[in-house]
Amino acid sequence: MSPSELSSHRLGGRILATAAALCACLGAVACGAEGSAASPGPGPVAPSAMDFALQSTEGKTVHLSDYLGKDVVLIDFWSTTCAPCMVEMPHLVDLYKTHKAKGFVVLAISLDGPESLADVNRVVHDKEMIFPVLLDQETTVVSRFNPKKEMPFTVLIDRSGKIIRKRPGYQPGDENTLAKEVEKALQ
Amino acid sequence: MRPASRLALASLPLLALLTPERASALEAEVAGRPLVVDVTNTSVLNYRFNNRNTADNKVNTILDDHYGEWLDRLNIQASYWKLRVGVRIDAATFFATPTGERIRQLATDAHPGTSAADLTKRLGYENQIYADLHTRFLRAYYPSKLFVGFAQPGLDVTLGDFYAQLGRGLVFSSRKIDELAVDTSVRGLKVVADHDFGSFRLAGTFFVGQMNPLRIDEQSGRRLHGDGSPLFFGFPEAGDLSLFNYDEKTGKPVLVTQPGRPSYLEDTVLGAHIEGGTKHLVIGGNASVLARTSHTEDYLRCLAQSEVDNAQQDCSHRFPEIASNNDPAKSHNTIVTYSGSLSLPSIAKHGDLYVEVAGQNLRDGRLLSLGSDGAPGNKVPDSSGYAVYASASINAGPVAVSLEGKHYRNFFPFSGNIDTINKSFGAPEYGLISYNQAPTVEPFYTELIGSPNVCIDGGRGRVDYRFDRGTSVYVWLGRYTSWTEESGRNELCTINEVSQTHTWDTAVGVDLAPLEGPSHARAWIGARTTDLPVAIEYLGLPDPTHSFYREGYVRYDLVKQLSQRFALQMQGFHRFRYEPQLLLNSWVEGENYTALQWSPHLSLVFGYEYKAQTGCRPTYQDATGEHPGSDLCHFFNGGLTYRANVGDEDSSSQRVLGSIFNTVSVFLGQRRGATRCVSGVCRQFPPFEGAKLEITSRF
Repeated sequence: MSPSELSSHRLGGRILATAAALCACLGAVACGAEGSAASPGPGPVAPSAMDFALQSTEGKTVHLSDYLGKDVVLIDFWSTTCAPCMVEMPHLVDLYKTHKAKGFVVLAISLDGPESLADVNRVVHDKEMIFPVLLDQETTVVSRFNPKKEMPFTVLIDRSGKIIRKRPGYQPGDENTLAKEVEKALQ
Repeated sequence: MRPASRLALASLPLLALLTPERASALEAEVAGRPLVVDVTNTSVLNYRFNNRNTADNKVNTILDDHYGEWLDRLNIQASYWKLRVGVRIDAATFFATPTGERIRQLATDAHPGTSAADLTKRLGYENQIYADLHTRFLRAYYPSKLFVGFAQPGLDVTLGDFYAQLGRGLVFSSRKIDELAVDTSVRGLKVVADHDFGSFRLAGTFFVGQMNPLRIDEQSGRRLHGDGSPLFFGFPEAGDLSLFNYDEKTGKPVLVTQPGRPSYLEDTVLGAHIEGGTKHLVIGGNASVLARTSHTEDYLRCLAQSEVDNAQQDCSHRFPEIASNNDPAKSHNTIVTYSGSLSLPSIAKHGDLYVEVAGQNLRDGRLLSLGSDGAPGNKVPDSSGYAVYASASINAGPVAVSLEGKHYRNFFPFSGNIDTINKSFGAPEYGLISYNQAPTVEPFYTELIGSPNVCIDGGRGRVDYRFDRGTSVYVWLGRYTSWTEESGRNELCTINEVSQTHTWDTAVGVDLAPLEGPSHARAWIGARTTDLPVAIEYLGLPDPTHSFYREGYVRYDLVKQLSQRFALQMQGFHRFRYEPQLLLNSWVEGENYTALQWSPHLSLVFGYEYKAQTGCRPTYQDATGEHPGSDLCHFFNGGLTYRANVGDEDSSSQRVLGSIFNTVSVFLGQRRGATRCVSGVCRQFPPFEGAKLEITSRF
């Protein structure tokens, strides 16, 4: 083994030791977390959609499990740089306003990265997005629901927590189809 | 049977079983809990004709014609209780690629003579082709991404592949950027934890692993070869290269073999993030350490001690080393970056503020030579830099204002440890891979020249005025001063007029959308001008000039609803550009796409692109004569996209077909070559001429 290889291995060892220590700290923080948020595990109704937690533009932590089993949830993956997303968004706002009282929730998950994250709040204001707007900067949640990272991409979840529709893209007129699906899910 | 074939066969029964009941995923109940399996498969089949970029002495412009490829990405994820598991199998198969006979014909066309000198040139030409093909058009089947995860309230652990970003990307950023065909994850361990102490929230992220870029480049068919890290089992490895040498004694070609070597030495990263605060104020800290694999010392020692004839090849094989290409980030084996941030997510619901200050230390510089005693000698000296980034937005009634600013000094992107130079074993298409992404504060589509963000001051402000929810106008203005745009990587970040560029970037636009129906019009017109304080003399221009770059453009997206389900859409842009260091004459380029949309199933698209640029189609010569180029190039194409819309009311067979052919796209025609940029990361896409079929299946 050469000196440079030894050097590389020593660095790797230090990294692993640091990793173990940090894992222990993070685990300790998490140990007291039971009950701090809704559980993704089986509750009254066992949800099929994978739970996630993301920060909202208002600084709150939002869990999908906060709504699963109670509401009809529409997850919309969008970004400020996606033209069809901007066209679709007013229709989602209208849909939300129409059905909000019946237990309909929209979670708009922004996929904006460093290049455009600063524009999110402006768009939220311009488009009057009154539902929770979440930030998936790491593209972690989108890779679970939408591995191709298509935008816009909507996921409709019924009251039992089951995904009933995944729809890639937006074509003018799609809002009518979506409205019917939401109405059916709310029945 | 090859492992990949066995895997494919084993997966067939699984696919047959995956007939979704509700157009979503396979579900089964195991021990009273749902087991959900979600499958997405994307299959791309395309064939390329002559894309009209053939140029003299550039074999790669010939080899990108007349071949086909089939790329497949099978993504399987399952979740059960608090666990999740996932794997993505990538497959690449190429067909109609150049045969030995065609390669010999190409070489003969280029050098048709019969003298010994001609034969040597011909063999040299053949060797260029074999060298380029050595890492291209190679079949590959490998588990590109895999992970297992555990999640419970307040804790999320992932072992395997994951994405990560620290702060606004200054310290670390590994995200999917599909626009540039970049999908680099980290393969290792990631732990995310958070806990609420009343209204105070404390959160932390820690990860460690090795960087995992894609190994197949869809655009070029180039394969990336790693150094054999055990984390990347089942990944393709570099093979030996066979070339011809001309034997003057016999007058015949002789086969010689160069041992294989990797094009990527695996980078190891460690990152951490901690933040605490309330919903009104969040304070965060980020840190990352990038540790490169390096064999430089062994390589230099091998060279010094070797007694074989082909010492360089032998040592490169045994101790592969990646040329730094004068990139300071690649010339250092350890990069430590850290930052602190302050965020006000909501200021009385009328604004927000984010500020991040980062430092970067380039340590453990590359060894340049050994001392006379064999001990390590000169090294690339250490270097430090910093970055300050801030953004804010304010809104009141119909007005919204957003501001961004940056002040970066000697702050480098973490380029991947990838060989972008070696013609036989390198992978130049992967040169854009980097592991952080400093905000550019520019419109996201801006094509950057040089490396302007290494050393720059700049800011951009945008004002929107909204008449109603469907109608608004906006204007933005950006001002940037860079010291690394004109002269590339100004390693010392020397602040002087010689390397300085000043840029103004502005645009004004309008969004018009009636409150009812999906018709809308979005359009904006903009300009960008970059000047040099010190005039430069460009070869071919009569006088020195202060002009570095000029651009004027219009971009639009217009949709007219024809009926409840039909709509007509026009989308495109047209640009005037002038960049004297690239071309002495200005040029125009643009595209317009017209689509007939039938919701929710069909979209029929017709596209026209153009480029009026000197030599947009190069002139070249071969044995059949001179093939004249052109200064005006047209590109026509058409496409059809079908989306299934499987509903609960559909029959079982409709659901199966709708799952298999969830989205089907066909493209036929030409697209111009262009540079595409996302957040300061740019990639040159070659022109395309051919047919492409893409099928996305969702089970």
